[in-house]
Amino acid sequence: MKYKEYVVKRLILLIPVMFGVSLLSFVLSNAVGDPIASYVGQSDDKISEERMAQLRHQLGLDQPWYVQYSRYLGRLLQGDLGESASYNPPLPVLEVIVIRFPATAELSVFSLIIAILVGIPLGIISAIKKDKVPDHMSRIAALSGVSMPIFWLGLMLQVVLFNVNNVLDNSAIGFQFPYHERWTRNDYPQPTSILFGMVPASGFMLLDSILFLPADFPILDSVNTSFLMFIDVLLHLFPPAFCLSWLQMALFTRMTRMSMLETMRQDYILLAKSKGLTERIIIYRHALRNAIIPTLTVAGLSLAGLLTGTVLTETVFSWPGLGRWAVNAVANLDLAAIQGFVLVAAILYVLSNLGVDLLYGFIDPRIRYD
Amino acid sequence: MTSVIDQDQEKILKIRGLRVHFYTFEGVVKALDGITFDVFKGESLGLVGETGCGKSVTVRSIMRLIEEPGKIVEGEIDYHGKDILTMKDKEVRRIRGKKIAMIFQDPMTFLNPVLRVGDQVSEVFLLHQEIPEAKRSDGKIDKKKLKGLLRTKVTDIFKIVRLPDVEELYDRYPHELSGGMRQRVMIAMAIASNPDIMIADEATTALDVTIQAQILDLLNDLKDELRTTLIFVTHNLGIIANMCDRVIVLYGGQIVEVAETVELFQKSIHPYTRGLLKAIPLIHRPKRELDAISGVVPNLVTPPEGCRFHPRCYMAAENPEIKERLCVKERPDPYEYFPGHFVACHVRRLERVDEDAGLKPETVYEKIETQ
Repeated sequence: MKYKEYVVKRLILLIPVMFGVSLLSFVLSNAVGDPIASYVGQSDDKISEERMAQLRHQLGLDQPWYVQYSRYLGRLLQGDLGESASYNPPLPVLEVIVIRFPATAELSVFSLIIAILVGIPLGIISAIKKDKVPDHMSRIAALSGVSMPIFWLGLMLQVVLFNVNNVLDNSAIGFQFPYHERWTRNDYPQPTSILFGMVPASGFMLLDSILFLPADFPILDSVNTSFLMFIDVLLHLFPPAFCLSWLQMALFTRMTRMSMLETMRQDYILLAKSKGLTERIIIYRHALRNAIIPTLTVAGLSLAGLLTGTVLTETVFSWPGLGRWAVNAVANLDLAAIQGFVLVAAILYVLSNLGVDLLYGFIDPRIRYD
Repeated sequence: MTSVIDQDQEKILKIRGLRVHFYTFEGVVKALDGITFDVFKGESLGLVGETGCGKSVTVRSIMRLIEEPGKIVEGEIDYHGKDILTMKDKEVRRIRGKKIAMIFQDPMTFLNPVLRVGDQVSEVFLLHQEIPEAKRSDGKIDKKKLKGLLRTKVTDIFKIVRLPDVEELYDRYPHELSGGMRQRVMIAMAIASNPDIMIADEATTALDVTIQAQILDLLNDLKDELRTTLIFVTHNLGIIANMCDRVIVLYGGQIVEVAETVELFQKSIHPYTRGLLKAIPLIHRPKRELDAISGVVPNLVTPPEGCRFHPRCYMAAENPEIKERLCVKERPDPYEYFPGHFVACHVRRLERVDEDAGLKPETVYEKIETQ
């Protein structure tokens, strides 16, 4: 099975990548500031020199860098990513990632889906109607997506959707969560589902809300509750996802348009025409599969980028995801958090690239894995 | 001289005053400038000329496949009493692939790389043929049965074009086949709906010589079996000699000579055709430098006035008086030099007029020097 071998090979290649990334992030983050700072925090002026030295010795920070690095690596191999000091009391980095990753993942995947569903058809349309009204419209839409700063768009969306018209706040859907307070894992109601019994919260709100189905109500009410929660989650998810997806959508549109135009000039399209096929079949059967590959590449990179870098959107919408935590970590010189985040980001990039590479094989038979 | 073409034979295609322009940044390329010819039913007609003389544009116009920035500006292509150029798109699609099929030049780039070759051929059946066997009693189409039927039809056609392991081949992708096999697949596509006219647009140019010979044999056999009309576009005169009954020589978007193949090779009249024939290297001739036609192919944005060949024409050079008076000013009209043998050349026409008047100049009719 070539396919399987290929995947295994790529996953094994992940190890040296991780090694390199951990080394780089370790060296760089230790070079930016004194690691002791995050432990003493604001009170450093009150701490005596002797106490500092003692702390350094306790934490092993007086050792040469390679000793420190090998200790770090050793802990890493045991799954210990250290403690994120920007939490009070400090939380293990791994736990923070487990709590926060679903929020980011949900947001990015949802926005990527919107971007793909809108961007690719728009690209096809503007390629077919090149230099006609639909093409100009889609160009304007794409350009405004690229040129609108996310923080501004996010704020405007909030104002328009939630403050000015109160469209969504008063939509009387039963559950009215304050917009800024997305539940964190801890105060999430334990979903005692009728169907599934005790379901642990996955952190993916869309999923959790569907599975919620509180057991203490009659079944119809229970389903209704669950449904309303789902709608509510959707309403909260949509604005930031839209914010993120507009830029991606712009990229996909332009990319699809360009490669579609390129494909339509290919010889095999002429042959398809000479067979008497209709324009529709030529576009969807003969051109699209060839044209979609560059868009797919961009989409793969987008996914990785979204999963790790939705910093602005998460900040504007107070989304409890990875991005906001990473920014805080950098601001607080929370070294364990920074290193943990970089590692996760690297893994996500490698995996999403692998995913794209595997997809190529389904779309283009010329690509084989050996 | 036995005539292969009976003049009363049915004309399957009448092309009149075809003019195709390409609108580029450098200016308007007048790729075809008033092409007029007939295609007789059942013949095999060769279109020959240098690169850029308008051979491919001519045949693509017949199927209305001229793409942006090209445009058919003027003309008429009469097929069974209807003008292809003014038809609705829907009608044209019904002719494409069904009545007139094209075999393209480069089998590497003309097959869709992401579709199985069998599926690409089966499209033609699906599009142009009723498959009543696939219908269930309630009138709906049984998809599974249809698939099976299409598969059989495709593999049958594969056998006709002498492809090996047809069953297995159906599921292959183009990149897994050799050039010759791909060309056979393209031919299979073209003959799938048993077309009236088959156009081979440099169908063998991209292949190596042994494969070329095989493909030509195949085309020859198919033509006899299917009784189709074959239009053969090439710049290889050897292929013309082997394949075609009649030849049209194009130069710079205009027809310079039309003749039956044997006649053309034996007594070509137009100075350009002569130049072409002279440029053929012959294996049994003592080695010497190749004869080339002096000068270069005209730029079709600003083609020469009058006869487009006059700047390179040795006959015009030998007759400066005619050149001054006609060649540089007036476009020569095709003149029926011998029955069925048309030549567009001022010098030749005047000679012929002289000859008719009883002054027989020795230059009129000469075989090419038998080298």
